[in-house]
Parts: sequence; structure tokens; C-alpha cells
Amino acid sequence: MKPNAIEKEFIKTYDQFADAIFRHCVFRVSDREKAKDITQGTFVRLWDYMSQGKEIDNMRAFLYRIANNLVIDEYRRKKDDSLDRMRDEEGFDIGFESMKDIETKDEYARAQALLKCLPDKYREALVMRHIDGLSVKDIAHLTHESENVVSVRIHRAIEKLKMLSQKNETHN
Amino acid sequence: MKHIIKQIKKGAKYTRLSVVEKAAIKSQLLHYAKTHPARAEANYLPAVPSHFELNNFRNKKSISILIIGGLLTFGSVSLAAENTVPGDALYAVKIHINEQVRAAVAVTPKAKAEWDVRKAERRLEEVEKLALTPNVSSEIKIVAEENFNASANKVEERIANFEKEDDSEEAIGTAEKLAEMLRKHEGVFDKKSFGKDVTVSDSSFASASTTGAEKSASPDLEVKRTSIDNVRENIRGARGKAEEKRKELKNKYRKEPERKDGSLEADIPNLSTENPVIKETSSRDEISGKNYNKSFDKRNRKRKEEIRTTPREDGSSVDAPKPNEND
Repeated sequence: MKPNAIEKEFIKTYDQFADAIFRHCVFRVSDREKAKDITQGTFVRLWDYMSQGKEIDNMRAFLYRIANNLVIDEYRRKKDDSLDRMRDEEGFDIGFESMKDIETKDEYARAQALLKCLPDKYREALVMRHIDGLSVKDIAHLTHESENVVSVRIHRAIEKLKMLSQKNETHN
Repeated sequence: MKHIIKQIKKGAKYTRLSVVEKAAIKSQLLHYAKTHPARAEANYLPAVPSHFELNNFRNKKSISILIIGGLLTFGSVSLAAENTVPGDALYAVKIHINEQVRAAVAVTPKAKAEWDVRKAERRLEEVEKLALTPNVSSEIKIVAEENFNASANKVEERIANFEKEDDSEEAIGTAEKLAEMLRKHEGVFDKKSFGKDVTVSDSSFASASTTGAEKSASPDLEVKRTSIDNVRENIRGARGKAEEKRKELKNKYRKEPERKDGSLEADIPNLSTENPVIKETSSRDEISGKNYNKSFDKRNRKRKEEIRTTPREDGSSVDAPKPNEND
């Protein structure tokens, strides 16, 4: 592949997958700026790979794998935060500008807060399945886990969300 | 519960980069691409590592498993080939692989000579096995016998080489080993063991009547007996030849015979005044002072002539005993 062709391919890939990768990162780290940084880092690594002349069979899976690894690196740097601190102090800056309905925004913010309370592995599986729309098989391949483990994590994530939601309603 | 997931999914639709943000990231990436340009002549490298790529850990593991599996398979084939005879499928493995490897291990001339004797023994074992196996074609038996003869000739060549190099010890040692080996195998076909084989052959016809069994057994048994007799004769001949050579070498290098079992001929005849006792190697009959084997008479006379003319160490004359008149 010629250098020009590689650059064209890269730009085309960015236009196609930037939003999806950003969305994935937002729901994983719950911070817009960090999600943007991770998205940019994902495509930098993609360029490093493509510029060596290597071809990629499944671009989508490749990008999600890079993004997942960068998110895991971010988790390791991050400190544990409680749900209240997230809501009261830092807020959620994950792009509500396009949401017109205030009620929707509030419900969404609540759902996001609950999502953040999940353990990393559960959140990873849930986001990949219900937000990114990946199949259990794809998730298993990306995370190097068995399909059974992925299914169990998704199920437990949903159960945990349910439990947190009930607690939250009782608290309110 | 579905409500929460729905809320998340609904919110996810609106979660994206703004146009400004997207453009900003894009320009940064293009700047990065220009500072880190793609290689001009980048060779095609597949994203999915080749199955034969050694740097791939999975391939290293699978390759090592393959190697171990291959070695085990080869080892078991090699082991199975050890018991084969001419005509078997794995006989070529025995000759061209197993024996070649063992020959390569023998580095010194002595080790090579020992291996040659061992190889001759292996060929002989094949001949014996074929003689005892029913329904074997005569061509295969001939091939086996020729193989044995060739290996025995190889040992003789080795002895001749030692003689050329004046290595008396190795020459005599090799000749002794060959004779020892042949003597051991001659005992395989003695009457006692042959009697047992007859019993085994008869039992294989147990379902038939007594007379019927005898009748049906006899042709196969006859063939077996003939085959065994031939092999025994061959071994006997080879043993005689080997022992002749051994004696010749000992006489040449003038070494004292050291026999513990006393099963071989004495090189120096009995010098007592009594009638000389001569042991016959090819016959197991005991020879008394009176009974001589006529075939050894000539040799005996020659020896007596030599004794008569050979002076003693103390310088006195030799009083040779008079030959016995019972010829």
C-alpha cells in the first residue's frame, strides 16, 4: 500500500468510527475530556500500525481493542470515586447539549451514575453489548475471555444496576 | 430493569463528538501522521500473524507440542522396527535409520568392530526368526541369509584391517567375539528347543483329530525342520570359519589360549606319555584313549611330527609318544 493510500484509508476510518469509539470511551470512563483523549490515542495507535504497512482484517474490532486497552490504563490511574461525589462535585460532562428534554437528561444522568458504580469488568461488558452493539462473541474476542464469562458479566451488571436503582429510589 | 438499559441506549444516541471536536481531533491526527509518515516501501505485513510466525507465543507452544509429538511418534516407530525381518514394512527403518544412528555412535575402531559383530548377530536373529515362522517365502529367507553372510564378511574385513594395522589385540578380540556369538546361536537350534517347537506346532491343530492333526501338521513341520536344519548348518559353518580365523590369528601373534570353559580345541596337544586326547569340535561324542575320529588322524600325525622335531625349552630331546596302532 502506498503512503498516500494509507493516509486516505486512515482518514476514512476516522470519519467512520470516531463517534462510536468516543461513545464507548465516554460510557467507560464517564468523563468527556478523558474520552476525547482516549479516542485520539486510539487513532494515533491505529496510524502507527497502518504506517508500518500492516493491513487489518477487522477494523472495528481492532479499534475497540485499542480503546479497551487505553480505558483499562485509565482505570489504573483513576482513584475510586463514590456516586455522590460524581453527582455533586464533578457532574457529568458527557455531551448533553443535543438533549432537548430536561427530564430525559435527568434520567440519563441517573442511569449514567448507576453505570459508573458498576465494577469495571461488568461495565465494560454491558457497554460493549448494549451501547456499542457488539455480540457476545465479539466481546469475548476483544477482551480475551470466554463467551460464557462475558454473558455472566452482562447478566450480573444488569442485576447490579437493578439493585442500585432500587436503593437509589429508596434513598430518594 | 429494561427501563435503565433503554435509558442508557437512548442517551447513547446523543453521545457523540461535536463537529468542532471531531475536526480538532482530525487535524491533530493529520499533523501526527505528517510527523510520522508511513514507510515509502512498506512491505505487506498481515494484521493477523501468520500461523508460522515464531514470535507468536501460541505458535511457539504449538510448534513445541508438534516437535515433541513428532519425536514420540518417531521413537515408537523406531522401537517397532527393531523386531522386523526382511519383508516387513518397517524393515527399512531398522536398517537405514536405527542401525545408521547406532553406527554413527561407534567412533573408535574397536567400537565399530563390536557394532559389526552385533549387526551380524541381528542378521542371524532375523534368519532364525524366519526359519521358525511358518508360511514365509523362500526368497525372503534367502535374502535374510545373504544379509547375514554380508555382515559376517564385513566382520572378517574388519579383522583383516586390524591385521594390516598390526593390531593383534583387536583382531583376536573381534574374531573371538564373532566365534562366541555364533556358538551362542548354534545352541538355539539344538534338539531340546526343537522338541518344544514341535509341541507348539502340534497344539495349533488341536481342533482336528489325533490322526488328522498328525497328517495336517507333518508337511508344515517337515518344512520347518528342513529350514531349521539349513540354518543350523549355516551357523555351524560360519562358526567353524570364525574359529579357524581365531586360531590362525593366535598362532600368528603367538598368544597363549585362555579358555575357562574348555569348550574349544586346545591349540597345544597333550604331551603326556598316555595316548593323546583329541576333542572333536563338530561332534559331541566323548573320545576315549582308544577311539579316534578317523578324520582327524592325518592332522594328529602331522602334529606329532612337529612335536618330534621341536626341541624342549631345557634343550633335551623330545621323546614323542609312539602313535597308536589302532587306526
